[in-house]
Amino acid sequence: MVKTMESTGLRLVGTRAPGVTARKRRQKVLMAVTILPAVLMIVAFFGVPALQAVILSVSRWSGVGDPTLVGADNYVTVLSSPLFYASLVRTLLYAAATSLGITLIATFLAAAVSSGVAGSRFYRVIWFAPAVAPAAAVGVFWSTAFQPRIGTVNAILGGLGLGDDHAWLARTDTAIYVLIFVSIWGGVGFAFLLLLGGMEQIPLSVYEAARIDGASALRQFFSITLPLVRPVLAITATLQLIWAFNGFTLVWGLTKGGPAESTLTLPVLVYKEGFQFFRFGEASTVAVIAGVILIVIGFFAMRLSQSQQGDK
Amino acid sequence: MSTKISSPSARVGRPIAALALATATLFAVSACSGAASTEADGETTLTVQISAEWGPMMDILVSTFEAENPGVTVELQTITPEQKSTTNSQLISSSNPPDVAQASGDWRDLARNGDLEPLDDIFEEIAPRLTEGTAEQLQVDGTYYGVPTGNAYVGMAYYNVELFEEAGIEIPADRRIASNADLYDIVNKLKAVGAEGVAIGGTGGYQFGWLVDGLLASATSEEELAGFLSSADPSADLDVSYTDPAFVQSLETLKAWGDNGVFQEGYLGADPAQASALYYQGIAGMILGGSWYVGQFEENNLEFTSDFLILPPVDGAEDSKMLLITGTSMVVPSAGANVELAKKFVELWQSDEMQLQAVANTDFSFPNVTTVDLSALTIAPLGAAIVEQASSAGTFPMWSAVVPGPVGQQVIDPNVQGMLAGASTPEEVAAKQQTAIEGAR
Repeated sequence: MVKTMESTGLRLVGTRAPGVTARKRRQKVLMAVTILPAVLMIVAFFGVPALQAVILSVSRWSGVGDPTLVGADNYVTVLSSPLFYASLVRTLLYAAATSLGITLIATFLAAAVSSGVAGSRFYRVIWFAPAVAPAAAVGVFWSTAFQPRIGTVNAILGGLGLGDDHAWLARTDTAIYVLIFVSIWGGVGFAFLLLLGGMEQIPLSVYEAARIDGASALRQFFSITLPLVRPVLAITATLQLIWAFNGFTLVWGLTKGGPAESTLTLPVLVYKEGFQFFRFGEASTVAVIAGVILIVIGFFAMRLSQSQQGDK
Repeated sequence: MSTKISSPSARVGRPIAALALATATLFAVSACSGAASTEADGETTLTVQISAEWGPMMDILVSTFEAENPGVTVELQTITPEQKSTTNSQLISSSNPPDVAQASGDWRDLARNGDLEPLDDIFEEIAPRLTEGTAEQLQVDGTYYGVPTGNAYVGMAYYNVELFEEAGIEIPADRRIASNADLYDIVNKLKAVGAEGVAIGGTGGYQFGWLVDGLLASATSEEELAGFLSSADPSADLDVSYTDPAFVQSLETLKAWGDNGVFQEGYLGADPAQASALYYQGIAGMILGGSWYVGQFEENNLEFTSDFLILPPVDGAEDSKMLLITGTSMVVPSAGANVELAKKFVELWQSDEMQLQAVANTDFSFPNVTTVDLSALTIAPLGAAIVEQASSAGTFPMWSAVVPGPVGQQVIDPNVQGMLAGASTPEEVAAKQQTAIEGAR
């Protein structure tokens, strides 16, 4: 009997058995068919609206009738508008301050809970509670709380002898700080849970070894905890930045972008341009530009996170 | 015999793939589910948009309509003032609008685009009964599209009678605060007893517009005011400019009020509900309001008596009056499911019976038709006083109610807020308003 490679079960290096190739092809087809509905959903509910926004950004439309293509007119108008640049800078600063505040506070809280401070189980719930409150309700609550004479904050300050007529939301130089405060208050809970999860993944043996070597709790935090949760920190900070940048409900509920546009962030500007002034073309232009900025920020954040993981 | 051995990745991948497919299918099915039909078991549902404070009026209107139309159920959909002036236009022009909607944004564009049903047929009977100045606000290019909810008066300052007595404030016989100096005197006396002045919702988006309306009307002649009212209409000549002394003086007066502490502390960051809370609690001695506030005072069982005054005109002017508004206009979207039934509903709304019982006697508003038997009105004494004041002293038309919102109220209110916050001058605000009007033309 002549022996062939097939009859002996041998094959050339780099080739697969015929049955294996067909099976892998079937698997690929199956996977493609399986994820196709999800891809279609993403295209339908994200891709198409995004494309429509881009088309609208090069159109003039008042919300009634058909849009009219105007080329780059909207982009020229928006990119030469001082209001747009002021709003952009304000939004970036607001988002950065909110993200930084949330990340710092959440890190501190997570470190405290993961170290087993008394009442940890209670704190896990109570510090997460603001995160589940609807943003509109949070806006209404804090808007009233910061009112002079009738607000909770002023009542507490009045009780402490610090006066009860502070009108932070009515002043152009202080309204933005109220926004940042409320945003941090609402965002700390979720970030706290993320970071707590990351910290609790660190093996206890690492801390024990550090303790044996004489490292203080503070030294352990900066030399062990922070470096090991850095990827989670990066993701948390990036997400909070994006969410604050895109945040509309809280700003609208508290100040509607006022007084005197001192809290006019890009999402509020988009809303006003579209739904108050019925300039949907320019509103879409602002939205597209904001989206591009966020994509760039997200890209660099991902690269930074990946490079840090690569270093490890 | 060969034995098939599946790879580890396939063993994990298949269940995951199945789950992904099931999940995506679930989303696809839920996304494809249609809206509930308005007809079920022979019943027809008529959807009508209302505002939150319309409850007592709608109770009577709806029960009457349902009794006259067996098999019809009226479903009320509450929208906020903000929704009305922003996103409601898109809802009206959509393929699934309510049957009866509140006119929103620049509703005249909706009419010209064919999104609203012409109502000339029902106005054959209604038009001769309308109060003066109403018909023009309901028409687009000579065709009726809007139905008024009732006449209302705006821009008066309600005051706490007992607090005024405690502060030793003398009430003008004709209810008019004659001058800015008199206004400052009233506010200072209120502050001397620990109260605030005029409570106003600075973030509400419309109350600064009311103040501009009253001041502008007091600063202009009839011809000038007519020019401002038609300034956004491209077919009308633009005989006035918002940089003219009359408009600038109105803004300067308003700024002076702000600088002199007429309004409550923190008013630029307060909404109308928070302003009302200050008044209801007796913290603010006055509140800027409209005639429908009378019903709200009754509902909230205030512990004090309220009356009203007319805020002063610009310096040098003699005339200050309340502002007349025909209330929100109701429209019938062309794409609604029950157009003819909707027309019957709004027609009933304009009947003498409903204008009397539902609109007036619930203290919601005042009849916008002239054929109502006024002796049958059972409105609150404060409401009757408002009607009497309007009859004897007359009223001004509202600029911010006539000029389309996107170039009127939506522009002036935030700009005035900025002016009062010190971010701009009256001249700059006036220039912005002029730019907005020129852009609309």
